[in-house]
Amino acid sequence: MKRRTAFAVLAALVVAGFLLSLIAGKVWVPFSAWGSADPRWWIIVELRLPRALLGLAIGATLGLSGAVLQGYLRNPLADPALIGVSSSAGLGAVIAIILGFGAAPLILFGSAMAGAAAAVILLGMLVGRSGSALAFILAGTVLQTLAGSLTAFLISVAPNPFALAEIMGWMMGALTDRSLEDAVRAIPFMAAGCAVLTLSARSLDLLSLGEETARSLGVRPGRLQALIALGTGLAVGSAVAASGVVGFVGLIVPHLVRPLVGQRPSDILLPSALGGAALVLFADSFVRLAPGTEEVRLGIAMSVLGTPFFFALLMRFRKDHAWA
Amino acid sequence: MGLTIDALRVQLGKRTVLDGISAALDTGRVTALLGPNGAGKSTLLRAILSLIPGEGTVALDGEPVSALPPRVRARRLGYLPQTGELAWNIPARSVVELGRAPYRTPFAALSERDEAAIEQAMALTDTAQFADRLTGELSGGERARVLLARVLAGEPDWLLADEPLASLDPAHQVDMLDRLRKFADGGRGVVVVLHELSHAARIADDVMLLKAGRLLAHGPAPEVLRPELLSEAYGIGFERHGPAIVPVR
Repeated sequence: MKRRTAFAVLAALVVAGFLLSLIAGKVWVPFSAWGSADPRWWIIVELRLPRALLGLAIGATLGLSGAVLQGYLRNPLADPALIGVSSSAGLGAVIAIILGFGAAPLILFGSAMAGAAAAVILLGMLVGRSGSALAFILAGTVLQTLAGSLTAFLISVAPNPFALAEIMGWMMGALTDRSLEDAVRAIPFMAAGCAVLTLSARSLDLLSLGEETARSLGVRPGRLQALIALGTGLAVGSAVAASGVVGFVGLIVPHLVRPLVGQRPSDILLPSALGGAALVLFADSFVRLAPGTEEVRLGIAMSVLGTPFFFALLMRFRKDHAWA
Repeated sequence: MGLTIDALRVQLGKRTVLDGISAALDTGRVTALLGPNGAGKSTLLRAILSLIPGEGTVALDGEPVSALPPRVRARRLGYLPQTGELAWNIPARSVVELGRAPYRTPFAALSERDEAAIEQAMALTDTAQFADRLTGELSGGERARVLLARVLAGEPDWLLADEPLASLDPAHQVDMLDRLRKFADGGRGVVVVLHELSHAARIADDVMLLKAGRLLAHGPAPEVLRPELLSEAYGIGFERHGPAIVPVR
């Protein structure tokens, strides 16, 4: 597929996903009700528009940061969770819930962002000046493990079942009951993070040749690493702060767009953002349509999607590497 | 334009890998770096490029290489590493384009100058005919030429190549040597790590012979490629049979 066609298809999917996200749910809102006095219009304005905007931004953010990290680490199995920012933002939010601020969106958001910021600072301190991608993954793994174990500890000492339920619900990731204020608060951080991440595009291409060759071509590893840590911290930190932990998007989407636009790291950034937005918008619409009174959490839906995806990847790998 | 190495010493961990290397290299000439495994040949290339820290000075026309901004350094010193790593399966032309990175700003498209340099590099390496093919579909020889084209596209003053003949068959080895020679004949400098002494005899104007991190000999190829000096470096005997230099026990 030509790049331009691929862009058009992905952009069309985003538009379709956005519209579906506004229309679909337990109550379907036809176009005839839009902008009218029909009370269903208020469902769109109050409930679904913020949710669709957040879905769009979170999907784009996770898709883009997944593509950047896969390019940076030269590993198609890398995803934003790998460097500990998601789990640290999650820890920040859990601390806020434990302290009784679960119903205070501003504090919850701020606490999650503080967790992400702490992760970025610690990441910088742990990696030091080496600028090495391997050190980056190791430091990320340290943070991810630390944040995960502290979160588990806090869950184990949750003061009451309500806090526990709140934590579990939040950690599974969802866009339920988000307001326009939530969207307005989080989206600028995501946009800023994505802008920072796109600055790494040219360096990601050069890293295809190996770290040392990239340096010989003018890449400054320390600066690049700082850009990626800062960009991921802002983008993924605010995405997690707004929706809880939604996994797999950053991992899956770059794989889906590579067959359409090629493997050059800079070429898959924008398509991954579009693909991520479309994936989250469709997934979030489908979780609303699932039967039952309780919605399936978005994070769970993404994990369910992830399993067959990895199964297909495994089958393809076995076929490509089968011994004659 | 000259590359001057003065009292270069490199320590990796607690091991001194290079010690007291001093040499002056000129453009228009091919300098072969020879020596047994572990002598410090690749480390010397990396130290010249400032990719690893070292004591002493490496200067390009009198200016310390370590003081040059990375992009300026990249425009002047082209590096063809031994590994030939390509993490993603991208078209050959996209690989060659990467050589223009030191000239481009983050979001700028390729300029006419960039396009011309890429076309020329691909013409010089006979890679234009498979410009659109993915690197994963290329043979070892084609891939090696694409990687050389990537360096040439950057129009560097110096080409520093680390064992560029590894994994090439004899025909492609000779082809690669001729291309390096041609590059030097164009008024640029070539420093190339080689293992096969006959290759050095074929291509090199000068030879730097290393042993255990020290410069055993440096001078015109015929003077350095003598059996007694080579024996001292490699620890086995050598005999000349016409243009070939053959190891003997």
